[in-house]
Amino acid sequence: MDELPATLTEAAAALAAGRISSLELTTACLARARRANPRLNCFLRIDEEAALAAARGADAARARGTVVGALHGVPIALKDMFYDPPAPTSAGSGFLASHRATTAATVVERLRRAGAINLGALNMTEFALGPTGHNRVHGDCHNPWDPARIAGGSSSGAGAAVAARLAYGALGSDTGGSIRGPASVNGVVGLKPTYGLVPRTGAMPLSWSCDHVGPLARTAADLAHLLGAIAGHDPADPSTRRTPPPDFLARLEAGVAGLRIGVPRRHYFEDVDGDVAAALETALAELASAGAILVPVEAPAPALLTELGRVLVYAEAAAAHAGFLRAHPESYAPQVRARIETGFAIPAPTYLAAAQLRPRHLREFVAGVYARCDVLATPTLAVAVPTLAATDVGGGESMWTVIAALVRCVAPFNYLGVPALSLPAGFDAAGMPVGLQLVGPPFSEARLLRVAAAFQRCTDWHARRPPDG
Amino acid sequence: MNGPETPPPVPPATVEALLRLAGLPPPDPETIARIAVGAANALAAIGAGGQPGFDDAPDGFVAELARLAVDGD
Repeated sequence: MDELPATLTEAAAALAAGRISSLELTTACLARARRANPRLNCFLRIDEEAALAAARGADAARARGTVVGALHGVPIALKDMFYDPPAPTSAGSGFLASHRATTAATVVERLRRAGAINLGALNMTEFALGPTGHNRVHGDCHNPWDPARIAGGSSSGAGAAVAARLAYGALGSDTGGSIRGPASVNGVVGLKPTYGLVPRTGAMPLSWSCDHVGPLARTAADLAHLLGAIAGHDPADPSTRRTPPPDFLARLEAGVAGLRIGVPRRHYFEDVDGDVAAALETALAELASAGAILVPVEAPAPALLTELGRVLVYAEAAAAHAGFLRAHPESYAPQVRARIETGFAIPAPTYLAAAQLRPRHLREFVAGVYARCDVLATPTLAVAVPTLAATDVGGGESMWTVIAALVRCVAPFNYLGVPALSLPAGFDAAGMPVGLQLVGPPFSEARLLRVAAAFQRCTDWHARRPPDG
Repeated sequence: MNGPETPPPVPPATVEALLRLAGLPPPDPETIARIAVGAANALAAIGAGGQPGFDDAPDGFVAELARLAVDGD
């Protein structure tokens, strides 16, 4: 095969049809990763031998007539926060660089059972806390569309690796936009599932209340395959829902005719950079052309929901990191340390009040928004993709301002726990990707994927490749 | 409901005392100032978000998500 399959779905089909072997596919991805990594720094570790051995095993199994799952033989990669012993898991930090867990993350086991080939560990913001992709220990991750610009965070390597065609999909985590931000700035799709759909067991915690594990890939169908492999109840994660997840592929091609897409002009579409706004208006018009009905809706101000989420995140991160901080205070990046240590200054009643208020805000959001629409559409990032230099503020005076600008449209949905997906929706004047965010009511992932698939059938933004991609 | 108003920062001395109580070495004054702003924002958010009811349990979120679930499509 001269040209490699462009998407995970096509790769799985090519493998199934015998047009390519897993060894060929994995070897090609590894070669690309080796070539691109000095420029992008999206892999912290490339597990070449293990990946090739797994690929040979997948091919041998297929030759015997055994196909273990939908991802049989497909190369993917994991943000370096999912336990997969004996490989170390650093969570992007320096002092945990040789940390080895004893048990693999549930999602890693599920991906393996579905047949995926793990290429290695992906760069990330230290301890998954930061929206830019800076990492002073392992080096910053660079955006494949312009290496001077951020790859987003905290799943920086996941977004960059998928965009640069180094892996067919990746697993990330999202506590305040950490899947959707990197998906947006790198021009790929990323899904933060509903809280409780995908288990976090064996994923290094940041905030038990707001951590979500989810996939990044190139198409809605790719996401559906990955989500199907990892979703579902895990007895080891009591937050996971017992109701079996649906078949995320079943209605992927059903289109959006008659579907009401809510557009919250106030708050979410205010103060959006000109190029970004223009691209998003075109994207909304495309959805309308495909049969969706655009309806104006009022959505609660994102700033309050974001701040309530931060109360949970910082208090829980402080609890999770207290021991590490006592032992290695100077090992933390200034921005990460300042944000985590904020949790020690949040009174316990304030933390509990944020948790008590959460069901009420969720109820009000669902009742207020989804009475008028089926899916909410917002910008993922309201600003054009900034440079690494412009956002390299550490823990300095502009720390909160830089963070707020990058997460204001995404972080509210971590507090609310509802599913949110970012998909490529155009490019700005500098040639950087623009992301459209789709947000649904709890456990409506299949609906979000259906809208994303319809959009990708009438646009080709997702098929564009970065230089050398 | 809009976002919380910008509140006055928590006094830096309070932040430093709380960090010491947690067994942490106090960071530099600039970082303490950042933490003070963040903590003040947290306190303000609860005021702006409405007071929880006496009977509102802090663990009701997962059940509420399940109650509001849109299964399938």
